[in-house]
Amino acid sequence: MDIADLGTLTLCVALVLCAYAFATSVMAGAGRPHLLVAARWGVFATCGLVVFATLLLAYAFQTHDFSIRYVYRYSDRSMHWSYLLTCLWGGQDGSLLWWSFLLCGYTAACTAWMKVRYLALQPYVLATLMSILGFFLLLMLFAANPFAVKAGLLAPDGEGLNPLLQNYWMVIHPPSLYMGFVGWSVPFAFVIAALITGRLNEEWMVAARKWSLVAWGFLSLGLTLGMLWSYEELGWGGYWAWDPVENASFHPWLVGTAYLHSVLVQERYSMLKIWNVFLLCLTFFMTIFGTFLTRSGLIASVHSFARSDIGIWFVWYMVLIVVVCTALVVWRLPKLRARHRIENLLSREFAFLLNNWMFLGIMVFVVIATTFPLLTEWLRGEEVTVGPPFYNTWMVPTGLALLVLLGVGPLISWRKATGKNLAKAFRWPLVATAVVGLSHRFLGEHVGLPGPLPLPLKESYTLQDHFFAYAPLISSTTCAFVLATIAQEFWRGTAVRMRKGEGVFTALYNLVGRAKRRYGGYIVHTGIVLMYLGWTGAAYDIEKEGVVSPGGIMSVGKYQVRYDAPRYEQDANKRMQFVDLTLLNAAGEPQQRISPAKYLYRTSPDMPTTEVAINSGPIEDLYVILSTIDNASGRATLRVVIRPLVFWIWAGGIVLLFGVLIAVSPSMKELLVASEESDLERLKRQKMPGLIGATAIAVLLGLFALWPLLNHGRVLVSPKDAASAVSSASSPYAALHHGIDRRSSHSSSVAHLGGEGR
Amino acid sequence: MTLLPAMLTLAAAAALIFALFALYRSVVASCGGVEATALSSLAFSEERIALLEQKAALLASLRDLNLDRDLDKVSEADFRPIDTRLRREAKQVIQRLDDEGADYLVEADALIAKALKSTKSSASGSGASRANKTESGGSEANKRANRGRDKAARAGGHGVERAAKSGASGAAAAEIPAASAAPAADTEALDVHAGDVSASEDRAESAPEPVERAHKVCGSCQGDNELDARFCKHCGAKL
Repeated sequence: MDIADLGTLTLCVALVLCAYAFATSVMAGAGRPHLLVAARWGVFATCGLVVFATLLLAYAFQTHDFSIRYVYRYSDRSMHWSYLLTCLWGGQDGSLLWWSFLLCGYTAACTAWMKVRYLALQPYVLATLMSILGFFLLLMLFAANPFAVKAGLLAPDGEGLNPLLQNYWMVIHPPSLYMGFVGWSVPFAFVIAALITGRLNEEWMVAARKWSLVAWGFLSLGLTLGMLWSYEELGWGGYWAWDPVENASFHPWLVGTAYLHSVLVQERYSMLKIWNVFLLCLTFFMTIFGTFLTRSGLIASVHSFARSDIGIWFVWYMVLIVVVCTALVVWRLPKLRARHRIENLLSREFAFLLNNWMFLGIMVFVVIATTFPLLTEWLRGEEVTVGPPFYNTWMVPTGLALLVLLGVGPLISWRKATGKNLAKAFRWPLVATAVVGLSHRFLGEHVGLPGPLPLPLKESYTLQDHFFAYAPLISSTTCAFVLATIAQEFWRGTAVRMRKGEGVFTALYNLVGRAKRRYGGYIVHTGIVLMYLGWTGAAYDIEKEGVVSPGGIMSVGKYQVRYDAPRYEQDANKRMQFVDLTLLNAAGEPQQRISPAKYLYRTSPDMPTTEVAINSGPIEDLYVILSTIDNASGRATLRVVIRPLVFWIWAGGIVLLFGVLIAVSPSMKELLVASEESDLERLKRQKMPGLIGATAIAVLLGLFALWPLLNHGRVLVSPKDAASAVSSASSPYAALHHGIDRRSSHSSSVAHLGGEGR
Repeated sequence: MTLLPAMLTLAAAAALIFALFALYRSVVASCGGVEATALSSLAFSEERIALLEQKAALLASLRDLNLDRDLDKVSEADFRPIDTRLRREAKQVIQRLDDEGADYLVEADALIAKALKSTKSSASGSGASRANKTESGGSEANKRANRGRDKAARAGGHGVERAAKSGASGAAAAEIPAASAAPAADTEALDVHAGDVSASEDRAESAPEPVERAHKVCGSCQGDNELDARFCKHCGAKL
């Protein structure tokens, strides 16, 4: 039995175990509670097998087992071991296994965390998680098996990973995005369990609270890293292009954000119960919809790394989710009715509701715009695609409205705001807003950030033209307003504690420590505002493209870029063509050296990648793209972009994550309660040393038992065997082999690269 | 990274063995291998843990509400009904938590009563010079009470069988004398303001034999606090 067979067998057994765990969970919930222990261990066993399968695939990549189709199509021998690990999620089949692996991680963590908590909900939480896992296992076994054997003869080398994915951000961007996507399964499982059991009080919300924050945090991290990858690797000069796959990860983020806000209203006034259930179900639905968009290949995308015909599976699964959720909500409608109503429009709960409507409105808009090509093809028979300008026309005003709400929300009182407390709350933030707004309006031009942008040359101007001219000014002013409100919130809270005799820092520490979710949330808001600042900077981009010969100088804005010389390098995986540039100051003195490049990967000779050079700073980035280069004369076409304030997008992302960390971190009291709870477990742990010893011995025995089997897989694809296989191969295969040899010995292929560039 | 394949093999073997072990445990459990006591202990713990979490959530809501009032985000008129509701719910939860460990509270109170009694008798026979001893006796009683309270707090764990033997917790709760230590801690956690009725005071009213307790006087507001309190329950000042 080789790795391919072992992997497929493991997935089969995992599916059987998953069904077993699902059945025992349901039976435990339906009046046979003693089966809950069996269900929990069944869940652990299923997770263990999926982890085993994932590690098997990782092993197959590291040992270049090209008998497996997926390994053959997404890796080659020259790849670094770290990129061989990223191959796990580089293609469709593997990404489904990776999804299952992460889901198992969450499931095992949640099962272990629940211990003896939520015994009434637990069976259905486990059953829901197992049903999700079951879907992915079915999908792998019947539609996209990552262990499927490659048809035809054994290959000496693989086709290699898409060069765009061979970037260090891709090592962490997809996992964090997947962690965000998959993470929403746990809160979804809790809400389904609450609907089934009818326990719709605060219990499920408390249980799902931190899981949803964790999922949201990972999704935010994934989106930010995605922007960073796009900025550094795609080489088009931007970080967000409203690409369908980018949008697919943005949808659950929008709904999830709406949920995180509306749940606060339910916690305080037991309102919006149906709404919160709906939002959580919709968030999970959007994660599946996002995967469908990514994997089905129905819509063209720069992320077209993995396409296949598994879309129909996702369609049926989405239908199932809608039917089940709707049925459960309708069934539990009487229990979901709110005890209170919103009494006044000038209240924080209404601000939250407004925020929810806006998030949901944006989500609906983005979904429609993303699927517009499909819709038009279906309705009118022709595919119409909408581009970034269309998105920006709508998203800039709605985004700014959300930013205003970000500042106003925390200032308004619960239930009903009075004129007195509104005046008190808004006074200083409005002063800060006025100062920043006037400074930007009258002094901005001197630092290259004019208040109103010059209007484009047109015969007549619309209101929209004027709005977009003033949009950067509105944005910077609103950012100042929000930052001032957040600072005021921290100051007022600290001042309250200082009145009790605490020092400034002690008061601040205690304030955040005692209301971590609230102040963690404010820190998250700060991160969002910083990101808005970065996005505002895009209005002031300066861009220039030109052809430069070695020794020539190109001037862009205040920068002077001197082209020194071209440079060529090569490693086992790729050939690299750099142009060495020197940044000069106003006096013509050299400041810094940067080297944009083009890479030509051995396995993708017709797909050169653009490696941009970025000189980054808090004021602006200098972004240089090597468009083409003439190998004979060394003349290079360079595109130089000055991008103000981009730095603050990444800084905002870090601040946002810090806020999430504060919000989810357990307090000392929670830790103490946890230690109090675990006495029973502690007694059990007295038997642990023996268990650990036995496990260690069993692992060693298992290793010895498995080694020949695993080693067998490696021997199969050793170069010697591969060469002998090639010698008896048919002509297409031999041609491929010789083709590889030819390319690797062809020293003048850089000329080909130059041609590609032109 | 020639080590990586070996490490992956090792990890895969560990995952496989864990899966087999979990499967074995699952099959044993589904065949009735789980004893009823374990299940009943699970049920007991669930109730207690749910109450502890509910208590933590209610206290957090109370803190949040107080902060909102201090920041003028809730008017005084709105503050009162919400505050009353949250406090009522918190007291109910704390009462139920106390009931859960009722037998330990009885034991703790008996220890306190015994210690105080012996201290009083010795104090009455001697003069003011023995006042320090009284205090130390009180401290000793308090320490014992704390130990009793700790045991009660751990009732969700190894005390499960004992609690189960003691029968319905509601019946046990009816026999509880004035709670001394546990309610004191809870009252502190509630962060009650002047004029509020604390959980301990409620229970003291219904107590058959009120136990005389040592007090700690707050330097800021002169309010009485339990001996083991670290912060004043009236003004919040550090004691």
